Amino acid sequence: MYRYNPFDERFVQERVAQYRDQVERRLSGALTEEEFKPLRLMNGVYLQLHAYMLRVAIPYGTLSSRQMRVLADIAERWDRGYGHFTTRQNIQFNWPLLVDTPDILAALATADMHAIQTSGNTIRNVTTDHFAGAALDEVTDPRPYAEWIRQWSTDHPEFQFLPRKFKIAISAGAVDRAVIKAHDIGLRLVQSGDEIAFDIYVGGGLGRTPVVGKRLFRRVPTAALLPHLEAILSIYNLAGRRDNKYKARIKILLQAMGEESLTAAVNDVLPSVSAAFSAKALKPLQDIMDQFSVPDFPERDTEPYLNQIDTVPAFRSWVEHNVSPHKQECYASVTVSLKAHGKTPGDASAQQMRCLADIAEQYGLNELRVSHEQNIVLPHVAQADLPEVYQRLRAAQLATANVGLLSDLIACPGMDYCALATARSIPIAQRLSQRYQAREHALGPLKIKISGCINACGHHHIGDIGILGLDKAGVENYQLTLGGRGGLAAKLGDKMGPGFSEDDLLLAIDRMLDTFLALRLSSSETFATTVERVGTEPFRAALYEVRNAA
Amino acid sequence: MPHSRLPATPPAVSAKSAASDVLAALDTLDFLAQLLAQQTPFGELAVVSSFGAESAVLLHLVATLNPKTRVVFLDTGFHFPETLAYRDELIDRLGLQGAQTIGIDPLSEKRYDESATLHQIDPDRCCAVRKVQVLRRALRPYGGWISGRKQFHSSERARLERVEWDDIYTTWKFNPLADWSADRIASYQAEHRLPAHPLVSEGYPSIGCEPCTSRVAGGEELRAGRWRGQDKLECGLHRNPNVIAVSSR
Repeated sequence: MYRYNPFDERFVQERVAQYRDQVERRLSGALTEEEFKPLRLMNGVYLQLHAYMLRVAIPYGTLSSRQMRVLADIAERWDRGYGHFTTRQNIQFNWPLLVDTPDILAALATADMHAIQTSGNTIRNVTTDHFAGAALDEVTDPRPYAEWIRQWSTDHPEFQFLPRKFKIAISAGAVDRAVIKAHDIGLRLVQSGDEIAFDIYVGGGLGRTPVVGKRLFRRVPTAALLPHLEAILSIYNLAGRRDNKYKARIKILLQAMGEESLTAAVNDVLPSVSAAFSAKALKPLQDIMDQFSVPDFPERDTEPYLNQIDTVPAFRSWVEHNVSPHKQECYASVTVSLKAHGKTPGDASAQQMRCLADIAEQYGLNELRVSHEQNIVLPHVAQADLPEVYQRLRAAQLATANVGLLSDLIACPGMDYCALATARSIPIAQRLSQRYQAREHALGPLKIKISGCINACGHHHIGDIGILGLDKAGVENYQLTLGGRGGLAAKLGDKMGPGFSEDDLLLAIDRMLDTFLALRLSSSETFATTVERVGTEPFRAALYEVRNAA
Repeated sequence: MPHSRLPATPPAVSAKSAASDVLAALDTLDFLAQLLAQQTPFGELAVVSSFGAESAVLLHLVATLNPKTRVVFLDTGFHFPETLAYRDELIDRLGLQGAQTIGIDPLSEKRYDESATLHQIDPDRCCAVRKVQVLRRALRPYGGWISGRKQFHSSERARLERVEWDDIYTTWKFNPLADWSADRIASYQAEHRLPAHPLVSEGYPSIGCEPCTSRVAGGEELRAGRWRGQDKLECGLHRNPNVIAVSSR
């Protein structure tokens, strides 16, 4: 794992001191909220519906046990005893007092963490595959490249005031687990002869204008990666719209210019941009790679795992849903579900965070990951230790065996917290997960994603079933989309039609799922496959039949 | 692939190899009775059954001699529904109390065949992960295993012995029906009114997994419908000819 060097440490501490001074001036009244707002946003401090919210960066979703414990301490000392893990692999604290936020940032700095560039029109946290470094199907661990990009983009003087926020995701697996085509820039690591190269997708994003990213550059060599990113960002910085924040993302620029012109514009500036990157630019990458050296995986007998598989059905079910194979034969990656039925998706208590930190320390080489699906991953666990890990998780109410099932849904904070929301998301998630708790295994893999406004933080466009909460004359109204998906074959869901009230929404989803069960060819056919095979029409018909009958 | 254990060879002269000579001289019923009474130096043995076309005979003998015997069925996930129904019917009718169904562990399945298409791409590997590895796991607690293979099944099995050292699983293996003829099987089935596997009358004299089993025409070998069109003859649970034949009866 990457550890701060003296430069990083000094940089972060200076930022904490600077922010402490800004907060003092705000509290004394020397700064107005208008003056203070851009300053706090530089440090991840938002003002939400009921309170400030602090978003902490978890670079590429990787945490050590030590860092997880600091997050638990913050939750307990300065918040209400819990934190919320987000779809961008970060964590948010929902109830900090402004006066405490400098102390929180200072506490983060003690464990190589910060909240820089988790807000504002800058390059945000680089996200990646939550199984990076452990996945069976990856070309190589993408995280050194993600760290390299983080170092390049942090405090980059040219890109602090972009037309709009800018998100980069990077993935190296045969399966894309980082939704790279729904990012401003998506990077896919590929093997090119003996070298690592990058396919660069541009202009993806969800939000009010959902667009699937387009591959503009193929097989860009490692040495040319940062120049390409810098060239793309500089074109966007100059040509992106600043007159209308809803048309300011690079996807709109790409639509306006077209793929060819944008590519040509980038290629035009590439030589001058590249000239500014000397050969020395690769040196930091080498240093970073050394910090991500492959852990030593001692050979372990799988007997304890096999024995429990044959004798404990609950353990077997948990393995079937929550445990993934590892590139080392006798190891596995554990996904810890933060989706207990009826609970808020992505929330973890301080106690649970400490429990996860302890398990990672004892059984998981000290590593944890935050997944974009709002779960925690223990990437490196020996199969022999799985029974013990399962028991420990169970005791902390963290062994819900539902990864990939209906209740493993993504939900944005919605109107329970968010100042932008037009409807609540969390109560919908809670009601759905409880409603289908008994049936979800029979339904098989299913992704439901819920956004409480058009900005689509809940990724509803790429859910098998997407739910979008709107405000219709003061009443919450939920629209459905069907057949979306992430991954390399990303596709936006089809809008079904007029929305539903909260209660009717549950009936509508009943109808969709009943339709699926009636149409699926066998109990092994997934919801996504059925929708792909029969199209969305039978579902639409079933949905509005219910409405007409009601 | 998981690491296979180093091949151990049986000691040339030992209580077990001596016992195997004695056992091999018995008739089928006595032979099996000795094995299932668990009074041989081999300890507790498990019967492994495919619940296939001829399985009822061995299972009937086992149920008669010791109905508590462990009977292992390897569930590959690709069996004919008829096989699963037949398994349940036989267990019930014969009163087998030690039947156990065991399949691939979930992590191996995700690692080797998440899309469940390995049988199309690499059937040998599919058999290896869905049968051989699983049997290895099932046999861990036992001193050896009992199989229903017979010499008349195929030319590959013509030299089948009653007692073998099995170097795939590094354990002892017993084939009580090795020398039974097809007629003897048929008359035993008739005499004891044993139900037939429902697919036998449909042209399947040898039944494996659904994707890799086809009908057999008259004049073909019994196992001709297994992995038809490929040079694959056995799933890998058994090796032919036997690497080490312990007795020659």
